[in-house]
Amino acid sequence: MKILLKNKQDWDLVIRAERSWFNLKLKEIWDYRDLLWILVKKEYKTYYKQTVLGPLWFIIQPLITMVVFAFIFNNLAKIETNGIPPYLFYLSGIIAWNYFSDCLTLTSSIFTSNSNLFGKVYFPRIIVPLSKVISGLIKFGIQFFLFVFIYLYFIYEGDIMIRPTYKSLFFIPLMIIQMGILGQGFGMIISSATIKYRDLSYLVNFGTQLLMYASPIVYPLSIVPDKYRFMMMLNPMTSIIEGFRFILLGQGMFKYETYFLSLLFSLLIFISGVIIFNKYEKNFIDSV
Amino acid sequence: MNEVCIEITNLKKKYRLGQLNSGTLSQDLVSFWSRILGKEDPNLIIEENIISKKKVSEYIWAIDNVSLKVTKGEILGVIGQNGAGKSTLLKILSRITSPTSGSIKIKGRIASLLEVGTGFHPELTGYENIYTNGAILGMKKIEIDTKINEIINFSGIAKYIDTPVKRYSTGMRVRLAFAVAAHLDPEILLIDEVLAVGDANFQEKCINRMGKISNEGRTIIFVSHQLDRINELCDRCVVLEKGTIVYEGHPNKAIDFYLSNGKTLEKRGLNSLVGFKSDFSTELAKFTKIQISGIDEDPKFEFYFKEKIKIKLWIEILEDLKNCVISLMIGDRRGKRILYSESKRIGSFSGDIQKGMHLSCTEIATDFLPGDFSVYIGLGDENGKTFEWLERVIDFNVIKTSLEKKSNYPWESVHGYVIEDSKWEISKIKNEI
Repeated sequence: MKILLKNKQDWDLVIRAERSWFNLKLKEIWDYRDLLWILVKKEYKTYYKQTVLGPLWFIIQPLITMVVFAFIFNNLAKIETNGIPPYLFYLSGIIAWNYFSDCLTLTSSIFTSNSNLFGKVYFPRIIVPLSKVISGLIKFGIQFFLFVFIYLYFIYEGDIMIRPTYKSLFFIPLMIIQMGILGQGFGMIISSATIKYRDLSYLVNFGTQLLMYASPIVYPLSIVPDKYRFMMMLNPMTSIIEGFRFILLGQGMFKYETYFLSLLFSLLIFISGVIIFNKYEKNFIDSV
Repeated sequence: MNEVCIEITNLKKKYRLGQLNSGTLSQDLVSFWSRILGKEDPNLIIEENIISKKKVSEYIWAIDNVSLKVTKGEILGVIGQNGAGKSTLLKILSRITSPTSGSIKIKGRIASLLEVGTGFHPELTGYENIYTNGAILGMKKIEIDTKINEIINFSGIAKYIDTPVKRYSTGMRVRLAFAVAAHLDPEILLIDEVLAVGDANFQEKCINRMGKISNEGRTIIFVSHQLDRINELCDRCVVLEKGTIVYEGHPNKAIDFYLSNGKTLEKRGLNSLVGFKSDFSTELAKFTKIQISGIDEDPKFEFYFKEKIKIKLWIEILEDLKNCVISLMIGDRRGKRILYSESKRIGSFSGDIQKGMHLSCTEIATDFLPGDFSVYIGLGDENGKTFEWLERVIDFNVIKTSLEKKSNYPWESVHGYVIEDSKWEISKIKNEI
């Protein structure tokens, strides 16, 4: 935009070969905010079109998973939940993990599933992954209410074992955002790679499933032997899930140091995701 | 006015030819791994034998040093053959892909109609899709709110607006999509071949809409193969060839330039065809000369209305040919073929031609309406094989004046290409209303 000042005319847009290395294009995203909302709405409207139960699936899915997990891992496999009621233990893990994996898998298929659209119209591409993350967030919000509802029920029933860690409660929104950007960051890196290597898209679904077992979703971190615990902590989701449980349910291995490391790591992933996404996004259509 | 709203400077776009890699990670990893180990790449063996022998240039310049200024309010047409870079230019303008070098400066909001109906979701209703599609094309929600009724009316499918788009016919989808796009109100609109769809009525509506958009001082860049549309709509036209602008000017002239492949056409009525760029050739036969004339066989290119036209072709046959068919086509200047004639059906042509020079002569039985015409010639055999095919070898035109004074063409405008002498009868009817 520097050269423009030399001309008398003010150009609204200059298309050039080089584009800056890291550019979030926030102003442009703001200009397209209506598109963002419409895409989020579209996501909802199309998600459960032609289903009988409709949005109820948002609640049914984690509920059933919760019951199944509680039965298999708690009743049959006798995995301890550190005194947290198993249902709450699993549900907290499931909704957090669902949100993360939704962000990851939906973002990672951005290019392949939207190549038709991207080939025809310009808009800031990052709007699409953003819309996925926001709709994921809304879904998470609904499921979180479910969680709170069941939580209150347990308190009402007189289970005094569980209490939130009130002083750290403000970490919760931070963690939710962190899961979003972590999933989106990973997703954007993978989506850029799928332009060249289509087989990565097969890996994603399968990979996130495996990653779930490498995160403390169906078991607490405390039962992991010390020698593996370090490896577990390399997974940024470990800190988040454990922290999530510690803050909400008062039980879990949560250290500020490791949490901040995971936060830093998430930011790093997100920034590299944006850089890579920007780099591939502009010429993506030439290589499909 | 005359304010420049698009300024393209030395724009270039490079494409890589061929496949970028094997396409799957596993194969690339194998290749990468063998390179590290210093082994022969198992994936490369087959390809290398083929490719390394004829090392074709790996890159192609789809846009090669294009500079162009577009002023506000004009309709600029872009024509050119397939692969000339028209669509690439639009793609860069609409920011779908980025240029390799050079720059484009744009003033005002730009919207593209590279293909209508982008972002339609089959499960959503027409109404909902107007919002999605409009937003994708860059409209604000509030804008759509104010225009929604207008859009629905324009599309003409108000009845089905609450039906999911998946139940729409293709035509209905296109109508809806164009209705959204037509109400975009951008300062600059890029259009690529959208008018090829939809019925005539709807096309007319779209054309009018485009005219209206342009009258409001908006700029339109219009890429099309429909030369008559270009001629009808555009104020200025550029011809692209191999990524560069080869002609820029009035649409009529640009179209003529494009159709003549850049050659200035002979207009004397006798053309040497030696060295004429043939569109299809087998080296078995060659047309060497063509002459067009009246019955007196004096070469000319202008004919009176209803004057008989004779065409002479000099053909060099390089090998004995059996069951030959010489064919002749007449087209208008825009490239539309309107008349076909072949040697089997005209005169005493036996079909077998021996090696050597030949002269073929035909008198066209049909009369033409006033206008400009072009001649296409070809030689093939009865089995549908083509030996030689030349396009636009010679041009001629027919004027409104006739040889006999009473049969001049009387009307202001010409509707059609040819005239025939059918019998007409008229008689009075009684007792009927």
